[in-house]
Amino acid sequence: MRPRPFSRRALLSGGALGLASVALSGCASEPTGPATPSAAPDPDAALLRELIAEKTSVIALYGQARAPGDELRPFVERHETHLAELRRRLTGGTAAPSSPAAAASPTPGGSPGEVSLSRLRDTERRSAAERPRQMAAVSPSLAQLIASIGACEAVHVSALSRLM
Amino acid sequence: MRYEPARDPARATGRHPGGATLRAAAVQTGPADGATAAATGPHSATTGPHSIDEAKALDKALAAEHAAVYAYGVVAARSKGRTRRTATAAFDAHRARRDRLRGMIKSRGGTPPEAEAAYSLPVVPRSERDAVDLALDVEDGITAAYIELAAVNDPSIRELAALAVQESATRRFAFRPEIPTALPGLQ
Repeated sequence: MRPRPFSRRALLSGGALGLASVALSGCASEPTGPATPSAAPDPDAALLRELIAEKTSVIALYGQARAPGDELRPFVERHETHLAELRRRLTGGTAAPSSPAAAASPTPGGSPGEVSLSRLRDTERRSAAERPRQMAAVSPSLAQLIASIGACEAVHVSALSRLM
Repeated sequence: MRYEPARDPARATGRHPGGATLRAAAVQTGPADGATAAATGPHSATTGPHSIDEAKALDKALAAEHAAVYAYGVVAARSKGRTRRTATAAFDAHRARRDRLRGMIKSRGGTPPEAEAAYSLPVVPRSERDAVDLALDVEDGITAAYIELAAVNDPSIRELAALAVQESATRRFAFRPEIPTALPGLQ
């Protein structure tokens, strides 16, 4: 096994290639009926779906937050970057180019100003704390992406504290 | 981060040289990756074909920590007040990481690489701003080194790498409260 140094671009496109194969194999297996009990789930795909749902919720949470000016916008944009990359990994680069924010539907009944910065910070902290555990069983390239996302979330904790 | 030893000063390339810092070796996910994972269960990452060489990645991370300890000695010496306190705390943190990595390499039967006597830094700080710039460069390099380490198969090493990346990115923010990228170590 040899180390394979690649640029970030190669990582992202490589990740897309890898997931493309996952998606293709998934498509190929669908006509054969339900998965057999012995078939193990793909840990990458399962976690990607989980992370996509989580990111969508976090972006929606930011949409309900109270903050002066437009100070939370960069936070949302970084989460949107994470979401876009996670979706790309899951779909093999064929995801519709829709705005991640548009896809993030706020909790019913939620409105701007209902979420405190403290709650956002706690959410970011919990997310960052989960990342090391989530990396344990996934592919090396997804482990790197999750580590990077966790680092961004950890910085968000510090950055939100400065806004409080 | 891998600053070149001082005996080869020609390799220093400027204030924030891409060539002087260790960038992450991002792992390319090959076509077999997903299939292998599906076939071998939840711990397939420990046998996956696209992980990087564990021993080399540990050595690189340790080399980066050696360089960080050296660089923070310079940063602390050329700064004052809050920057100096932050640099001193960073020095201690990187020294602790260095010692942990040494122990991990030894416990795996390896020989930890030693620190160079001196390193040719990308910039010799002449002001507080220079000192902070050097600290940011150090942390960017450390982040890249641990992102690379996150691709090894051993889950315990991955966990260490993930925590180290979070610490490094947060420490960078402590020196200068800006967030230049959504994907530290990869962008």
